[in-house]
Amino acid sequence: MSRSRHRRWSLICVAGVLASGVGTGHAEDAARDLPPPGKVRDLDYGDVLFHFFQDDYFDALVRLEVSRDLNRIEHHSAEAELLSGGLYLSLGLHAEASRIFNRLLAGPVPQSVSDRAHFYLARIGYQRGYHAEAWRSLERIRAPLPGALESERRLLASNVLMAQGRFSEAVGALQHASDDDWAPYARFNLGVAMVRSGAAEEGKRLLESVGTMAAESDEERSLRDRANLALGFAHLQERAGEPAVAALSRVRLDGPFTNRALLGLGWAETDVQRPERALVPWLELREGRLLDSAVQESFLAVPYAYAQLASNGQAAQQYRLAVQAYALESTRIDESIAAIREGGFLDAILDAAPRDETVGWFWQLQNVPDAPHTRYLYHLLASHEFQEGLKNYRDLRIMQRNLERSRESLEAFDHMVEAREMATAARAPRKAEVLASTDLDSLLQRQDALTERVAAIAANRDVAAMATDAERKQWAALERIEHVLAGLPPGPQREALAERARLLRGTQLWHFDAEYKLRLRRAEQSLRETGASLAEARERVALVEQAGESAPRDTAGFAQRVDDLARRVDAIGPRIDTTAAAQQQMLANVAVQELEAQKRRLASYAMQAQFALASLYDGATAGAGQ
Amino acid sequence: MQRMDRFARARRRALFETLALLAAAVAGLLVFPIVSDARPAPGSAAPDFALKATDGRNLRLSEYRGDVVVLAFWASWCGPCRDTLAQLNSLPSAAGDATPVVLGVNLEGDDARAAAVAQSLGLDFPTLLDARQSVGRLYDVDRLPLTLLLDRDGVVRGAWSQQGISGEEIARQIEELNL
Amino acid sequence: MSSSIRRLAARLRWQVCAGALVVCGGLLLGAPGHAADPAQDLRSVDQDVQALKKQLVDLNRDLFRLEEELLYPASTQVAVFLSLDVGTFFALDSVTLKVDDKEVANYLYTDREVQALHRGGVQKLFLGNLKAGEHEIVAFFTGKGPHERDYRRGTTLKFDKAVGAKYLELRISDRQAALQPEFVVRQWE
Repeated sequence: MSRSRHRRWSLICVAGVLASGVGTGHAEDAARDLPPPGKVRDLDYGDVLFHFFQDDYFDALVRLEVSRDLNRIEHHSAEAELLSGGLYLSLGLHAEASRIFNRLLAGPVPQSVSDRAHFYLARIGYQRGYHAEAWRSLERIRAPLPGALESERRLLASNVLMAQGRFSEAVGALQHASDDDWAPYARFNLGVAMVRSGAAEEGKRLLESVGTMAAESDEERSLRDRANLALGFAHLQERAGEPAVAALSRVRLDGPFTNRALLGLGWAETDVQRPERALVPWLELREGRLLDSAVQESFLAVPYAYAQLASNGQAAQQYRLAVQAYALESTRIDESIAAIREGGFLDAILDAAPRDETVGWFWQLQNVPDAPHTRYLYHLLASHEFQEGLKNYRDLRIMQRNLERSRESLEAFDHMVEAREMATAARAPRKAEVLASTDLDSLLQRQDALTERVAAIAANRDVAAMATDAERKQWAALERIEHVLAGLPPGPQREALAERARLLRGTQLWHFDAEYKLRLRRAEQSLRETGASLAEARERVALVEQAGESAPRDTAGFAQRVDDLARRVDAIGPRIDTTAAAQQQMLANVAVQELEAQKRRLASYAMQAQFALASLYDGATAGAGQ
Repeated sequence: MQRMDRFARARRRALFETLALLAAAVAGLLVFPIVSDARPAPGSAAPDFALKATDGRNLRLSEYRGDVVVLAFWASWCGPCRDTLAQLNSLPSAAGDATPVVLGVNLEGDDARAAAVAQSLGLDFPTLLDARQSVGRLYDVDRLPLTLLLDRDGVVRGAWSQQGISGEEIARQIEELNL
Repeated sequence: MSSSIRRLAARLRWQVCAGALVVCGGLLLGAPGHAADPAQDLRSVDQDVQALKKQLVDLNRDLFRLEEELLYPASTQVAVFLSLDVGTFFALDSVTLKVDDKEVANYLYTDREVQALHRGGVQKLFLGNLKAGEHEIVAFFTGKGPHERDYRRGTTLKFDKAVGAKYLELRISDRQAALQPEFVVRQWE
């Protein structure tokens, strides 16, 4: 799968690429020392990690920023700060990352956090060329860093030392790192640096160790070739022909360094006075493409060999061939320069260049048809400025796409806010209607009055008050009967009637009493229910009123935010375009400069060929004159 | 009193439903930024999805960002589909990094048959099983075969519907579009 | 042989040797910025690019917030998270989630996602709106445990949605019964 392959490539090639200052951020390393599962105490932080662990750095960073703004990850504040620094770094925002790490270090943080912050600052410093600062940061690291970060620290330390010219210390640092994946790359770098600065013997020893190592992957084989190439030329510099041949012969015949090895082999052979053997690699080399500088040189080397073999006629012919070839190539370069100046070639290069920041892939261009833009790709990608510029340009294009998506989201939000506004407006008249038609106050008054009455009835045990109409009529009828009875003359008739009335009254009273309790309970229950309903209604009315007030406010707030964001989007777009144009211009300039340097070299070769030709003629005439 | 309650409740429910519907629509808009009636048109982002492959792995489209992807929708009863699959099986590999990732999406709903056909064709790219046709609906597949070419950012750059496609043509398109 | 040719050869060789060393060494050691001016321009463009990227991060952050507040206001917001806490490697395959008897999530997990969960990542499985009151979630997970054994487990939870945002964590854990992954649900906030 692409991403893991990318990561593996960048991890292995990072040593080479890292040393050239191209930042392939390793925020993922920050993850290897994060707390094991179960220790995430804020779910939103876990969400950030979920994206981070899948290398969705941008997504992770956005979520992290949101969560921090909303105070959702208070349990992980130092770690989150560190992580955000690492994420900014991996997205190429060195300045912001520095700011964050420095701010982090200004406060009280646990040592594990400060150690890592120092490490990242050291890396940033190194990438920007502030080597002394980088070293100071490295020195502030107190304990071994967790996981693979420690190995990275060693790499960084050796690179920084090398950059400061402290070679012997760098060699010392490498002693402790021999098991690290990147160790051979570091030894190579150090070897070359030492040869260049005069510590040739030690340097050559290092190069030899890399040049003879076992190599399993293509990257490792490539490194081994480079080491042997560098070693061979180091020997050549001291005119040690045989060791040079030995080293150069180890270079693969079908790799990116074949041409230069062939060139070097030729020189090695001439060094040990075997010019006829020098011709073998040189003639083969000359069949290659002139856009390769080794091939260009072979055009001079071949006649040189012939001259050494005293075949002056051949030599002269080959020099003339060289002059022609150089002129032709120079014209081609002119055409390329013109094409660059016209513009538009950059997109073609970008689309052709792979996403991986692997150096050394460009040799595959040998197999690609000789299209205009591929000619100079070969040269350009070796340049650091070009690589950085290319990365920026690519990032700017990605940013444009992100901006486009943001614009679309905002349009959607705009619609939503409008819809809310409309919904609120539509509801307003209805709401007013409902509120008007509800005379809550009078209802409440009635409720209160009823409650009071029932309480009074209960307090006074006013049984009769709970009577129904029918019962009241009965009671009234009974009272009338008793009244009539009172007016009757005493006698057995009256006694019987009175007895019956007394029975009826007793029954009624007993009935009332029984019913009273039940009715009172029911009345109280009813009152409670209506009381509850009324309270609910009161709440709802209040809510509706409140919503009526706050909704427009909220909606207005959202509308404002959408407007602000839209303004920002509109402001960023043109800036991306201008910066992209500036970057394009810069890349074009670098390309043209490179090509012009090429032309100058070709001109110099051509001149040397002319000079050699003239010499040959002089020698011939001088000899003839003898 | 009771009447008012019902009134308020009903209106509140209506409000919620409207908002929910709107939210769903907008969420749809946000997930698929360019709204189109038809299948994702060239220039728009390919909707993300995850499906189980015949070998049991779950594969998610968005995890292939960074690669050029060919999405091939098929069913066993569709002849041109099988031809396309065979063609995609032996895509001419371009120089370096440009070999695209091919993902076959089977829309039949019969996993066993899909696996069998994939095996008989000797496919060496994953066959994703869309038993519920959720992805088929997502991509509005109404005719087969449907083959989509996605660039490294997951944007649809080419679409071939109702016709088979040859390996050469795919390779040529990739070349032309500088993917 | 003519001495001039010898001189030529010597000059050539020096060029070649130095060139080769520069080229192959330079590929790995290329110090940033050879010439003063181009480096300056590069740095200023670089600064512009960085500033723009930061603006874009901020923009996306604010958009994300706006989206959440518009679509999922705190008063009704419910979020369901998923995490793993298993001793041995558990290959989670899928999770389905139902809220109030309606399916709201049916997620298939890729290798990459499972790894991210194992490293401590927590997935935001579902984000939605619910009215205040009692609700019920029902969740199932399927997956493969050690020795290729298949697992399918479920859980249900009734919870109360009050005024603030509600977070629920579905954790697949094997702490209770060793090597037996089970759902453990936790309510937050």
